[in-house]
Amino acid sequence: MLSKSLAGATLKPLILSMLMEGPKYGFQLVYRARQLYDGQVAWSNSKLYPILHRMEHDGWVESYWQASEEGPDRKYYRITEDGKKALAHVQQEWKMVNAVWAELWGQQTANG
Amino acid sequence: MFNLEKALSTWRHQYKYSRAFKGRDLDELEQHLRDQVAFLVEAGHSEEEAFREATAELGTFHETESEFRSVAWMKTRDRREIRSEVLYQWSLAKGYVRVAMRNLRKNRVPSMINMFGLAVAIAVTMVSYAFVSKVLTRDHHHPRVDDLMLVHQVTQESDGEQWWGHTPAALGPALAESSPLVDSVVRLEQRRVQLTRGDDQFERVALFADADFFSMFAFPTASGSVEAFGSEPAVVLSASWAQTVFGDADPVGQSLSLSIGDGPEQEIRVAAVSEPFTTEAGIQYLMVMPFSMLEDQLESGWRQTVDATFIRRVAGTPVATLRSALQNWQDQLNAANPDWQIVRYDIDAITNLAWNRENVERSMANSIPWAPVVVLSLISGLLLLLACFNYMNISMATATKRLKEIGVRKAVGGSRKQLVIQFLTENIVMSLLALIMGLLLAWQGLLPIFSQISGHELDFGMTRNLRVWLFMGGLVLSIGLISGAYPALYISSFRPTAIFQHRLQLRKRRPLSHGFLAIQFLLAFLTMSMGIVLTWNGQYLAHKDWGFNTEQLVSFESNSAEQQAWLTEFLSQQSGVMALTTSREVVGFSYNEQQTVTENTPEDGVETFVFGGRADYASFLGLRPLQGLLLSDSTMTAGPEAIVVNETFVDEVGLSQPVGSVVDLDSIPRLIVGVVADFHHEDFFSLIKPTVFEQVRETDHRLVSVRLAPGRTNETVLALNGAFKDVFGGDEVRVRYQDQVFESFQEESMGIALIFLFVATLALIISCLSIYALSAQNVINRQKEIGIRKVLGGAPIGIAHFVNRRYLVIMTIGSLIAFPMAWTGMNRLIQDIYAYSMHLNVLPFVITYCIILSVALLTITTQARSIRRSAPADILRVE
Repeated sequence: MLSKSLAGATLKPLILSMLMEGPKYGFQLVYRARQLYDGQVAWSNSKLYPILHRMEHDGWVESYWQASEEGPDRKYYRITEDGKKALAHVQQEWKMVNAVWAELWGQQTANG
Repeated sequence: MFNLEKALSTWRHQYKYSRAFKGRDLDELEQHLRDQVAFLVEAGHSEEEAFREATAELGTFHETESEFRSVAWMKTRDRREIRSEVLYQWSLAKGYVRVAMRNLRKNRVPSMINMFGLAVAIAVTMVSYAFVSKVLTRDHHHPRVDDLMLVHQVTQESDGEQWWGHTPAALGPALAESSPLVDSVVRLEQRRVQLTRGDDQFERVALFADADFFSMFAFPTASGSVEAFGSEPAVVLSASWAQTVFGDADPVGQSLSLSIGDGPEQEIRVAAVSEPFTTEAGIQYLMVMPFSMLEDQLESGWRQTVDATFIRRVAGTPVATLRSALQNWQDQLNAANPDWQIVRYDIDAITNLAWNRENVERSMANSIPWAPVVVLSLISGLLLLLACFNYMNISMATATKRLKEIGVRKAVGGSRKQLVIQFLTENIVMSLLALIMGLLLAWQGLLPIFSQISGHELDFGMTRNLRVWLFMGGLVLSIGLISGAYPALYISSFRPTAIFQHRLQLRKRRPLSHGFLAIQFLLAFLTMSMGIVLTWNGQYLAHKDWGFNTEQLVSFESNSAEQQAWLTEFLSQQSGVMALTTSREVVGFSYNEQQTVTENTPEDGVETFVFGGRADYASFLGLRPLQGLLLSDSTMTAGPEAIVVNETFVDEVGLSQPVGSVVDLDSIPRLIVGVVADFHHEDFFSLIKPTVFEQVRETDHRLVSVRLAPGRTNETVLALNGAFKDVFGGDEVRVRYQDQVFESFQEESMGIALIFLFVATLALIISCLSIYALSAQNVINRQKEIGIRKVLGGAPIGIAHFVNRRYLVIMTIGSLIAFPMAWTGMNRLIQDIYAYSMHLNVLPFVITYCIILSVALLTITTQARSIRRSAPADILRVE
């Protein structure tokens, strides 16, 4: 199971990456994340929306409403150009971290 | 049958009144729930199970609300929305304050006791703040203070670098002319001057300053103008000195006759009078005159020094650049002074003057008086803590009164957070009221008393100082939070079901509340024992032997050999004079500092106080001879000059056979002929210094000391002053009463003791009120038990003591813990303040305990009255 702190730290890049696949609404994001992590991540859904709203305020994502078959309208999110730039930056950082782990753990596996 | 639409509507109803959700936030959340329910139903769950799981995953109302609240302000863009949010928060705050006021009114007695305790502590804290902030921010009030610097000379000594406050007189003009980094320079030099106004003559120290003095330093003018200062021979007087010289007449524009040192007389006009100096002013003067008036008396070249050179750098110039620019003039100085070489010039901010006083030789600044700063901070801190614990204890004891209120608030949906905010608001409102009460108390009572004791004109500076407002705000908030946090958390934790079913067990929290009570008594014990020990020590010092006969000893200072001869002649003819001698210095007022060198001392010798006078000066003072002889005309030898030394001299110089030894005093060999017992010449604050008495030529004597018959002092001084004025005109003779030295020390010492005793009394009052409130509340809380005991025949006093005996136990435990702390702390404190103090014994602490105990017993006994009046039938009938 992914720890809460790591899940928290990766939430924004995860959302941006999922939105790169196309516009999504809240529950679709939750569903997709579960698929990706194979159910090994637990987050409180109450955290997701304030983070999306903050990202919208920062200009990384934009939203639009669409009518749904049942109940109120559904709010969709899509990534903006600024969001893509932010994601590219975060990707660089994670790749760097990944390279460090790969080298360290690769050596240890070879030695071990 | 589960109905999803109904469940969603009920769910939404719970959220819709919260202001954390803006715009269509709830639509988004509802759609999320619908999506998840549909997904779960498809996976095989029933609609009801799916709804439960979806809402659980969304989180509780409080969790979701708190997450959304963190971004609510960000989403409030519309001006109308912002206004509505501000109004809402304001109405919430008003509600909290209204309820707080209502509760304070309802619990009048405990609230008043709490408020009084806090007000007293705040009053003492504010007065301490007024004193400490002024002392610690000395010289911070000048314009562009961050650019104001003082130049120092630095020499290399055997034990490291030495900083000097005096600087070459030529440095100032050199800097002003050729350094673009400095926008003005002011040199200061103090010199004795003679002033004559009509028949009145005065001899005082005047300050000579360069023309930019009044633009560089903040000395506001009460009358006249300082704009032309420096361009003509004119003097600016301090408010107090103008009053002395001119009385009530307007001094501005009037002329005085002035001579500087032995220079010729010249006319000088009074240009202005300064406003009285505030405590922040580290640099002060009686009169200030243009530096140009002193030029004739100064040598030209780089050997001549002045007391201080202040510079104001061009704004933004780095200190390091300025420092390196100064080194350009190092070679000139060293070339002119082969015997005294500096390694560099250095600069220091004017705001550091008082702080660095101890590290700088020949500094013009006064050092920071640390003893009162520490003592005051300590007592106000102790009192504040005491008042906070008092508040905490009373709040917890009266919590039972508010159980139903808490139960109802929680039952109708109030969160614990809201309750905590409510209680903390009450505390802050109470602290605010206490602040107002404390300020009134300080203004009307403490500030004038303390100004008198400390000799500083103190005020809070509320109209000109933002810092004091920040301090008060911080004080209210911290008192509110420190004293209220625990009771608020404690009281708000009660569960409504437990309250309404009468199952709440308040007693479970006893150990912690007992701990708080013990701390309160511990603080009361510490404060009170400090007051008693310091007063005791003051009394001890008042009767301590000074080591010589200080009775009826008066000295007169002359300005010339002619006046000296006249004074000696006149006084020797007075019938009230029992003994007379003359000297160059007098014990208690002046001394000459020299270095004693022997083979046992360090190379640069031992610092020694030297008193020069007639041979009989030591015996005139009544010093006790221990070895050898006191000086007399017969001790004059053909060889080295004879001296008499004190015991400390013998110890510090390291002489095993002092009498007959020869020591070098400022490089001149001296023969020790006698040793006298140590004596204190100024106070008991500082250690006795190695001291020497020497016989010096009568032409160097400027003081005549007499021992007068009891009751003849005033008469003799009056007669002398009258005759002196007839012969010499003008100024009166400066008279120095030995008992004044003694009294000024006593005043200072008793001042510290009085402040402590006063605070100790306040601490006692706060503690008593606290015990009263606690025991009264305890009697109310244990009404049923008291009723049963009365029915069974218990006497009211016995019952009062029985139900309150735990307070006596807690008080004793608090005192026992406080005792070693007070013992160590007091020993440290009196040793830090006084070099000579009483030997601390256990008695002051026993007295403290007895006072606290008897006052507590007395307070508890008063509860017997309310027990006597209570009717057991009324109390027990309820059940």
